[in-house]
Amino acid sequence: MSPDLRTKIAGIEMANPIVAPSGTFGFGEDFCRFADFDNADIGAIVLKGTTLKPRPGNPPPRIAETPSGVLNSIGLQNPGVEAVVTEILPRLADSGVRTPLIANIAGETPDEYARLAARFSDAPNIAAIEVNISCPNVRHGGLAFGAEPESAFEVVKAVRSATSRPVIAKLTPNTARTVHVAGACIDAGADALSLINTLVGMVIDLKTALPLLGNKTGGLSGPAVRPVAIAKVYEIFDAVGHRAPIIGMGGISNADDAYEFVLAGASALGVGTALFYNHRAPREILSGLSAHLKQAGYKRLSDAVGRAHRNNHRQKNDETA
Amino acid sequence: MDTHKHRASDAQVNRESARVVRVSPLPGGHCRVRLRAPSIAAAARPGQFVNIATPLGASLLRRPLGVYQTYDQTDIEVLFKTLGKGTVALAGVKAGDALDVIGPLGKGFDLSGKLPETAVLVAGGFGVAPLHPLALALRGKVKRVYLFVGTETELPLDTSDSAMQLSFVDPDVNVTLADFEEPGVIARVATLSERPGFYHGLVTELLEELLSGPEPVGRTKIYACGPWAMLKKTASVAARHGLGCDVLLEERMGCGIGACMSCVVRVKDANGQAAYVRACVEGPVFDAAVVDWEAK
Repeated sequence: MSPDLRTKIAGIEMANPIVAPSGTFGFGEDFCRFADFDNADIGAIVLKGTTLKPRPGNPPPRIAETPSGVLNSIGLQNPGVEAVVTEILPRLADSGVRTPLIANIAGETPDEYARLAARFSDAPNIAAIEVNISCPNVRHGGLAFGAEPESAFEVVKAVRSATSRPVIAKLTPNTARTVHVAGACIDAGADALSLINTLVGMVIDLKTALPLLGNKTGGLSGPAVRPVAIAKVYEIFDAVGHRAPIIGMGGISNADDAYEFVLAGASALGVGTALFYNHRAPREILSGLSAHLKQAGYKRLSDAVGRAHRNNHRQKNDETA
Repeated sequence: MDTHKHRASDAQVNRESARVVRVSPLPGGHCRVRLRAPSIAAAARPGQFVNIATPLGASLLRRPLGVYQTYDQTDIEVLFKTLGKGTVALAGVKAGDALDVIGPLGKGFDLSGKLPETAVLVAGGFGVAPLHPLALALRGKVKRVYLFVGTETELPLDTSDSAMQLSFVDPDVNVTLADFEEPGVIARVATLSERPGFYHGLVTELLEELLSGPEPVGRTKIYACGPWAMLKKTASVAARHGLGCDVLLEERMGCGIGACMSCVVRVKDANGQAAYVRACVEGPVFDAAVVDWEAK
């Protein structure tokens, strides 16, 4: 019998653990252009980061390929919450998308986050709100909130009071205080954590001798960041994993990568950059992940979550002995 | 232009494991690769592109390449210049290899509605590639097709059979400048170095010369692809003569299907507002009049 891949994040029942992370999947419509792609392949879709007003985004170039990675600086280009709630979400409902949809919100003040959360709560097909306190590509908000536990707490608390939907905090790896930030988000009412957002990076164009990206810096994703992401998921699972489930992401491109994140402590798995070059990645990962679980003797995905931590207790005893 | 809707394209994208039929090295580090990809070949229109995964994971992202030619609705051919690891790996494939290709992508040239009497195709370097299928599509449908190619280096074309002689290239490579000329395309080449038979100067000067000269051109439209500066110049010549001009813009790209918002071009929308639109969905062909030419 195949292992049970269903997972539950912040009260959302997901048919499988694959999450399309914000910014890699538009508003859930583009990948359906492939005849052999179905949104049902995905356990949950996190929509493109949305702001109160329409946002033009950063000047191009917005993307550069780096060794085993992709550096991007889109800058939250989006049509604004009103267009998303009144045009895009009804369109998705009409087209029969049953995959749970998660709104990703980005504000410049805690109050803006609260207003965004409230507006998205009007949409019947929004299953949860992901609070983007980790975007590295905007001057105000984003990463500025997510780097310190105090500001992260303030934003998540504002969102928590504005919505009855489950709240997910998306965390940045660009801080030494990840564990404190994660704890503060849970204290403020976050039901789950998403990590990691991209790592701040830069490429300099040798021809012009200037930063290549229009925004100078960008966010690094893809296989290059995977060990960083694994370390963060492991660290946060260890510290607060008993309080909130983790959506792990950062360079997952195949089933081996996905299983590694599960062992580190992820209950769901973001597959983003890999979709850009392989829209079949979700299906391939699910079948390979199932084989991994079966081989290890797990009946359910949840049985394997965090299994890389099982020797921690013994090690700690050894150190104190 | 509908800039704020964020609508996904409804055009289907196919993915093929495409067999390499032929690899043709060309002068100047250019290369042509012909691939068996029936579902893409049957649907591809001039100005559309494909996104190809590079062999052995030489690059993470696929490489977007304009379709140079389709054959019998079974094969497509791409023409590109080797610029980095990804394109070098693509040029290194052998007949019989398989490449992972998605397409056709983008909107391509709009050939619906009333066509001009004269079509002037203006290419910079290997910007000639996506104009080739356009030349073939326009022949017989418009009175005159001109192709002006500007190049500072070696042409990605064999001109040996052309009225203009250049260097000898592999005779198996059977698409040449003469192939443009054969269907009634009047081809002219501009180079910055003096070469016999070629115009000495900028390709946009050839355009100016035609538009200001004695040859009758009638209702004229310009189609261009090449470096930004050349396109900007072409757009300004078109505007000065009051002519329509479509430009094919080649931008750094992520997914190629509209999801990631990487490949944007700065345009002015219907209200004169600046906006960024995706080259992979709203383009790669744009009306030169809406492109913000000061953006680069």
